Amino acid sequence: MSYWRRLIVHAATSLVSSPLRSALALLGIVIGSAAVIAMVNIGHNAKQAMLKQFEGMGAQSTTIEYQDGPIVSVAALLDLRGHLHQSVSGLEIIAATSAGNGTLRHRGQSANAFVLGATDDFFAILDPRLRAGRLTADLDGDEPYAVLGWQLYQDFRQQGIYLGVGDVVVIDRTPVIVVGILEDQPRSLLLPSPINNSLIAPLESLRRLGQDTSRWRLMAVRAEGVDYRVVQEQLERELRRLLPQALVRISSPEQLIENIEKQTRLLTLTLGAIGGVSLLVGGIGVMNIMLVSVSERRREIGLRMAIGARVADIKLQFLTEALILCLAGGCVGLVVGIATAFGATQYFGHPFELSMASVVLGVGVSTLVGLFFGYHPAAAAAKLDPVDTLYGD
Amino acid sequence: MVLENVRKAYGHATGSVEALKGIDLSIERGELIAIVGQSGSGKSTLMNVLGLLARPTAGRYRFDGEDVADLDADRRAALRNRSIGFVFQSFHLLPQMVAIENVALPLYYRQTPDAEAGTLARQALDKVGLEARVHHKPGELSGGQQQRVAIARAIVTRPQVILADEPTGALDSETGEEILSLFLELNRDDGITTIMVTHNPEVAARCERCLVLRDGMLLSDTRSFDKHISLA
Repeated sequence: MSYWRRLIVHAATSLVSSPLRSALALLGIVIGSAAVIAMVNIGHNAKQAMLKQFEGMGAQSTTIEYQDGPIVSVAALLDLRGHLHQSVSGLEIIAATSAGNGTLRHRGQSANAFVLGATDDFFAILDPRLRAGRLTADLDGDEPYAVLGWQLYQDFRQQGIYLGVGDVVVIDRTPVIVVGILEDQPRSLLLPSPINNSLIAPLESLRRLGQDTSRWRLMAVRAEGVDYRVVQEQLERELRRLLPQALVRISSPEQLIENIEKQTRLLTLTLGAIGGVSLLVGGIGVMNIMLVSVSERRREIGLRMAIGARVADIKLQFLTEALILCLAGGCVGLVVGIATAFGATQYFGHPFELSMASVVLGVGVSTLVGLFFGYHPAAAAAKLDPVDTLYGD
Repeated sequence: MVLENVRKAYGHATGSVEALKGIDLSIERGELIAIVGQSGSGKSTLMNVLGLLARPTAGRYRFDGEDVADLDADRRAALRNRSIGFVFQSFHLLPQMVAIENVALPLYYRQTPDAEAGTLARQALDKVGLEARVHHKPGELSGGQQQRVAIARAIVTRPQVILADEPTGALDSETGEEILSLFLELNRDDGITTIMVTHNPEVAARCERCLVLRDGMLLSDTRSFDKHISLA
């Protein structure tokens, strides 16, 4: 046991006794491992930031989005919804929405708004918190009721107007009664419009509001354990049958998440490889510096051999020095790399999450680099003939 | 140590040079021997062969009855570690380690536990009179003190033989005399076979046996039977 401890102490003592040279060798490894760790962490955090956009909505939905073809009426849309409920299994909720935009006016002030017509089961999916009033319902029929998004409320408030339940606002030229005001809703790519900037009305009242169903969507929530691919296949089949001339896009968040993960994996690998090249260069630096060290310590090596060091002892000695250098460099690089990645995420406004894989990768690869690039100098040292080195003065 | 018709040649691009041309030599335990000769006479090569650092290209070398030709590099290293202590003209101490660590170095290579190694190293430093300098680095020691540390290192494994190459070459005459006395003391008190390479005839005169080399051959092998008078 004490052989190994002495080995490490000897190696560390030798490294410390030529501080400038050791620092130079260290620098290459620090930069290399910092690069690997920073890159992998940045890639990881970029992915997390992208995935976060799917949070909170439940990844269990599948959306049918109209792209092109003859426009269906509200009635036909509701009809389609009914058919799908019956013919496709595993769907718990199907909400129909249609989004448009317009200008909201009240008492001389105005704001731009999205106008979202939705069946009331859309609120079951959205699950919003109400600031005041109530949500619209299918039973409202084509009554001119609407729910106001939080940002719209703020927009008017900044212009000095406090909207409340019962107020009448005009959307384009149509008056509408506010029955509810929502709290701040988190954004999500899965929603048909940004809710905070939307005026939500019953789907059936859309025509009265001067909107058409040109941007309709059906959002289905799948039952627990139902695979999105199965559902998508079925939906495709039914839509081809029911709306043969319509071009629709059927997508599920899992699909998008899978794509994102695939792409970011590629990104992370590429970034990691770039960092890896840097680490490789650092390793070459270590090798060169160790070769110089071996050359300058020929007499020491010859002496050690004369007093009983075997070839393996000499090799181990120099390998240990290389290993200590690279481990130390790896640890310093870890700190630098994490700090860099942290700085980058702060700059982009993402929350920082440490990728454990990067830690293992950074320190692990540094160690391997140490072993690999330290081997050649160690072998060269072990090949020295003490006779050549001991009498050269 | 018995050498029979030992030859040693070093190969070069233009042809090999034979540094030792047939040496026959027999050395008993406890002898005090000087090897003298001009530079190029082969005395350093003879030391290397005796010290198992170089293999003879021809002839036979038996150390303690065992033919060394059968030993591979690792076995020879182990044998050196156990049985031979080296002292060099330029001391060859490791500058980054303190005296006691330098002395304990041979013990490290035979896997001696730390505590025991520390004790043995201290004892060796005691024997050479440096018990007060145990934690000094070579840079903090005088030439004579450094050579003493080197001698302590050479004896720490209780070897049978000490091989010293011009041990007083880098020292002034007074210090050199102290070192020489130390060698004589170790040879007399502990019976360590001591072989010194030197070009200094005064040093040679203090040894009971003197081997003169010229051009790779043993020119003369004289013994002085007045050992006690030489030490005066």
